[in-house]
Amino acid sequence: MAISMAVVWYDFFLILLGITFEALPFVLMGVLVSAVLHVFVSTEYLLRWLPKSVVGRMCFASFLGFLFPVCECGNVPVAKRLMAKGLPPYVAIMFLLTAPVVNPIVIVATWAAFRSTPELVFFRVLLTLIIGAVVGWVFRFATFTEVAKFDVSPHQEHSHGPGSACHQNHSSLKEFVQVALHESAEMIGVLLIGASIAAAIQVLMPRVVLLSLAQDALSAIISMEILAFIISICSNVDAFFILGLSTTIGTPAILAFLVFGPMVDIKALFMLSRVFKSWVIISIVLATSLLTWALTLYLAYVF
Amino acid sequence: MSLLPFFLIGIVTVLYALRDELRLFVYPAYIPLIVGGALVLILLVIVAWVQKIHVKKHYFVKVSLLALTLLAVSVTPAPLSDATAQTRGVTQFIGSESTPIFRYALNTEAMELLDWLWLLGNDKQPERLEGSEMLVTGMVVTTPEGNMLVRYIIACCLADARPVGLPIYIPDSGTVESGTWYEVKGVLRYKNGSPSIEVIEAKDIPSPADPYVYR
Repeated sequence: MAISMAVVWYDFFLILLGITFEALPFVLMGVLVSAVLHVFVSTEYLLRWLPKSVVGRMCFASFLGFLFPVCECGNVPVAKRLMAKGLPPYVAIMFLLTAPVVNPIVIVATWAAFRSTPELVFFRVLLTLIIGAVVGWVFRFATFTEVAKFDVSPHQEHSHGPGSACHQNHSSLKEFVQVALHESAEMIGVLLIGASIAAAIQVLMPRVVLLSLAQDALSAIISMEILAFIISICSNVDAFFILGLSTTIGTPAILAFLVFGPMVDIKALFMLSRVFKSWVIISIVLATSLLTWALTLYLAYVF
Repeated sequence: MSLLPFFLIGIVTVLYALRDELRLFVYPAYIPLIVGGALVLILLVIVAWVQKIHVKKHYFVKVSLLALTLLAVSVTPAPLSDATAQTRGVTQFIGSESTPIFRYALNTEAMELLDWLWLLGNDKQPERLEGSEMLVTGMVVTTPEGNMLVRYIIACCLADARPVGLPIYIPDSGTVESGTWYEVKGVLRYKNGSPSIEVIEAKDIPSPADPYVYR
């Protein structure tokens, strides 16, 4: 029984367009918030709020994502900026791991995609926080020189928020729109790639292949972690992507995808290599993948 | 001018919404959100043009968006074909957490395909319904196991479109074409323990404006 290629292309295009339509508002939400923060809040102001204790700083790091609700694309430069200004490295690392998930936009987007399994949203956030805390704890004594790959050098700090030292007389609105459009371009690019892959999988991959991946919780979880790593899709749209596979792969594997993906993937690795030394990145990748696997497997057997 | 692709995709999205075609792609509750997002994008581009802001590079995105916009404008949106159903495999499971839409206790001919799937999947003794008259619409999909009458269920958008349906058995004198929508008049029969439709008459119908079921 031959499937006409024209019909397949048509379906592919329909699904691609569907994903793009669906994800577009979430992408724009993230971009707008990020642009507002970039333009109107300075990092010095942010650092004044840093708690003194290790635990306090870990909590601070975990929920910093609420201020920077974009995926790693926007967070890596922010983390770099913060570290250069004196933020302890482990706080920056925790921020990078948790911020892509622990923010209102991703939480809402995950819930929107998985309305029928709301516990997925809860566990996504919980597991992200746990893994972030463990990795942060491990790195709590690391110093800037030990982990950072870049030098602290004076650079332009461009914001107009309270405490900023900007004396230039250009319009905040103009800068806001510029940043917003730049980030939109970047995010929409990533979205289109991810959407195309998702649509292709939906249309081309026979059920047999997917079912063989989902033989048991163990292999499904590992496959999904690998998929998340390769796909490199932004966390505010990845829920819509994996939704297509949700009926074939079990919930634990979906959870693994949603927890591991925002932390580490090819795109993030590329960006992180400009901020941290190789041993740091390798440790983070190993730790997060193992922890994700262990925690989701545990949940799979308990529930 | 380099911002034109963003402007155009926003316009196309709004156009789809105005022509009531977004329903063919996403769960209807999200449509206001999507239109809002498109309007924000359009607004950003207009402000950029007025303020003479430029966004350099990002060639891949601009070209891809242009291509996508062109396709979106030139192709008529239609329901998913049978190709996706054949690849994904059709199931009969629609889940019991779905809100029962079984309103017609006596008139089985008024039940739709999904009403039947829910009933057959959740009733304690569905075999007692053997012989009930059925009048359902759906798309015929030819699978290795035979012909099936299918509808797609969508939870969020086309990415998760899930084909569900029942096998159909055509009398020797008739044939059906995979990928075509039919209004099927038939009788419920259990073959090998599984429910199926024994077709009395299959009427070729145009693909409906409301092809998907949203759960």
